[in-house]
Amino acid sequence: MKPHGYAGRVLRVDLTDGSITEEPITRHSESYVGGRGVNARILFDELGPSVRPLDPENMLLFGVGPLVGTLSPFCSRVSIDTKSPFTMGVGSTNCGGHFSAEMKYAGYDNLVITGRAENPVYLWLGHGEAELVDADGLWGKTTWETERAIRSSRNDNMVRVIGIGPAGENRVRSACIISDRAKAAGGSGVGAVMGSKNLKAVAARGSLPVTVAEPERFIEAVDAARRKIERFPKAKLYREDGYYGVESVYGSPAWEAGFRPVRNGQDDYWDPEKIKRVAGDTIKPYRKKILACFGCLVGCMPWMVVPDGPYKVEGEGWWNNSSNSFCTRVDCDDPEAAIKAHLLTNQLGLDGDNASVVIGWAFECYEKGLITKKETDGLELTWGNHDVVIALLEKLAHREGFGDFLADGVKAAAERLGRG
Amino acid sequence: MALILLDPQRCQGCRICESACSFHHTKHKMFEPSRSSTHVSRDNDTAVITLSIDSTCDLCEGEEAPLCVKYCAYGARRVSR
Repeated sequence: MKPHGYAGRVLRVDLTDGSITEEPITRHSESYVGGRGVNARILFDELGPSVRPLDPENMLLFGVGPLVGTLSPFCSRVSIDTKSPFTMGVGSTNCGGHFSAEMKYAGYDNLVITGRAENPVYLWLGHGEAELVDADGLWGKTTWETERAIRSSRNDNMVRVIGIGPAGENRVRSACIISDRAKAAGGSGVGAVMGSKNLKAVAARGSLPVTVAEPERFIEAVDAARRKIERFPKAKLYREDGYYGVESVYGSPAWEAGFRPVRNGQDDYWDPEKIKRVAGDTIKPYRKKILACFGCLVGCMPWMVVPDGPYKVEGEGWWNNSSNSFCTRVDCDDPEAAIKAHLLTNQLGLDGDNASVVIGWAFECYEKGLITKKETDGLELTWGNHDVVIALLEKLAHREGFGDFLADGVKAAAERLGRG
Repeated sequence: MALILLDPQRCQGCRICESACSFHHTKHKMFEPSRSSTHVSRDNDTAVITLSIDSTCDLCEGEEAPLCVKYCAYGARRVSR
């Protein structure tokens, strides 16, 4: 019998030989609370110290905890754990959205993925069964195109997809894994690990139940938590204006000197006239709706629309760190270009923070004459040149020209440049 | 006759109504959106949310109030009598 709070099963997939096996979650759940706890224990026990992050022997684990899929508020995260190509140590990241609950309803608590598929595949988790599906036609596609194609092929728009874009396929260090087109599990290079396995995505759709040990006491605890959340004065404001719309209005502490990196962190003062152009209140007209992750009481994700012009785009997400990445760090005060850049990172499967750090570093090198147009494929990396930021994101994700030079991160690029 | 009125403009797509509804239908035993009478879907190209309630809804007979209304944090549902 499966334990309360769990789907009951750990799925093991060896992409090299295509084998799929299962084991009961009780092997792990009696010692460790699920999700990241179980992932960490399996990594500790099974991953050899000599394995390199992009070797087939590296393990990529997805895990959801026991509260996911219940009525408990805020429980929407999936933990992704592996050996990180950034640090060569533990890479642990997570993201919200709707994939986590669907994975539980599909019947799985943890996925343990090893090996490397000969050709691109995606992992399908459907109502208690798992299979590997050919993904040749999805390789090279953005995360948005991939989700659209999988939903369309299954004829079901409730399928939840987590996967990589071109950045992960090309093993760019700042590649992340993107859930529901917008929620990024970043910071650890997990997208590069997924790409090294030729695994394009995991898609889930489920209808299996989650139980709790003492339902009435559980509901009492849920209700108590909800009352606490409603006492949080900003809960209502977040629902109406999203996190950025509340925390980053002009004049708010978020814009005080010291909070944001300006021109690759060379300064922490940014011209108030520039702040006014991208602050939370200014970009309100671009925010058409606020959306919530699974089971969240305080939806905070804005749906952004740039209706026309060169940066025409529509999609989910814009955060405080988006304005660090695509405004202050590169000195860009064009809100439409910055929104375009942020949504492009979601499509390409790039971590906006890491990608903008290496781009900001390149801009500063250009400013100081350490690199010239000869190295940058003719691009002028001058502060505020948002068209170049957008062009570099594409080059980075596809490892094209100067993008390839930057694709292994600042440390590797600085060592290659060697003019310090 | 009582009705549950839905407002997809206010809904942010968290699906907690489905969990709550299934808790009622399973006699407070489990969370299972496939047993829910109410359904939430979202078009990820446009962010348009679609809400519906099917004929299995019994307005949470035996509960103090319909659970989907009680647990919606966004004011996207209300009971009309």
